[in-house]
Amino acid sequence: MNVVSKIMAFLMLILSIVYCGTSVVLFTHRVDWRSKYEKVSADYKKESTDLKSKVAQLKDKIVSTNDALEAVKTSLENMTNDFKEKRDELSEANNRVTKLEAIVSSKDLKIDAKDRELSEKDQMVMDLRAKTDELKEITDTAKAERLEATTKRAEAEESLQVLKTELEKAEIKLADVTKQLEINKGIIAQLRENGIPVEEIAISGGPATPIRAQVLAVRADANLVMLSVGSQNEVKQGYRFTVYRDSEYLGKVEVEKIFPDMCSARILNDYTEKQIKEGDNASTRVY
Amino acid sequence: MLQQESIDQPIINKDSIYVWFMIIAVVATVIAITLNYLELTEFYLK
Repeated sequence: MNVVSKIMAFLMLILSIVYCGTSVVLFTHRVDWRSKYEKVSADYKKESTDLKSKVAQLKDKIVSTNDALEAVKTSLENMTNDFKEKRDELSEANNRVTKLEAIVSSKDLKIDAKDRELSEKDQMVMDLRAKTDELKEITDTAKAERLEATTKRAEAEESLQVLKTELEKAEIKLADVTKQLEINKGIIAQLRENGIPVEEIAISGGPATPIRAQVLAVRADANLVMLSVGSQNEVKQGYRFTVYRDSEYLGKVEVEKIFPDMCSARILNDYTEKQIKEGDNASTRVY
Repeated sequence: MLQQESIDQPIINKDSIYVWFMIIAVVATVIAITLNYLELTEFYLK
């Protein structure tokens, strides 16, 4: 064999082995391409029909969405118009709010002023309450005083009644006394006609002729004085002596006990103005 | 003549390997064609 035939034989061997290997691989990985084609074509047809139906539905949806879009556009226009109106209303409302805020601020100021006035009024009310409490206390005391006054008035009325009765009695006595006075006046007139000096006797309360004496001793704790005249000087019990110092009137004394040359006399406090001392003068009549 | 050559030369001739190459190539080709036929008959030549 020449070299060319040898090379050809070797190449045939290599190529046949390659062909055999590829054939083996293809046989081991054989596939039914027809059925697969049919299956794929059926799937394709099915998917194409589905897609067509979906496209139709999408077209319908697009139409409906277009309608809805138109409606949305119209509604949007309406909403824009409404929005403009609302914006205008909002601006008006803002203006109103600013006005109201100004009013509210003024009202707040007024409220603050009113609060101050209210606090002042509260203070005044507190003061008035304190005053009313004081007035209540005063009225209570006045009521108590009124009760006391009413009781005193009742007592005074009772005493008035007593005094009226006493006055009536006194008037009766006065009537008796006036009657007795008239009788005495008649008696005095008869005595005057008979020549008896009644007036001189009545003025001194003692004898017709005046008796002069001197204070010998004074006992102030017993209201007694000793005079320098007695029964020898015709002094009698009950005679009243007027005591004086120079021309100053001191008082009166009334004779109680009589001795021959002296007598004791009690100081009449109702008629005595100054203290009587030893050496003062006394007389039954003062000229 | 041929006998003489075969006697003179060793039993395994250097060129005989190429004959075996050819034989193996033919067998491999046959196997490959058979497999292709079987595949075709299985799916398309029914």
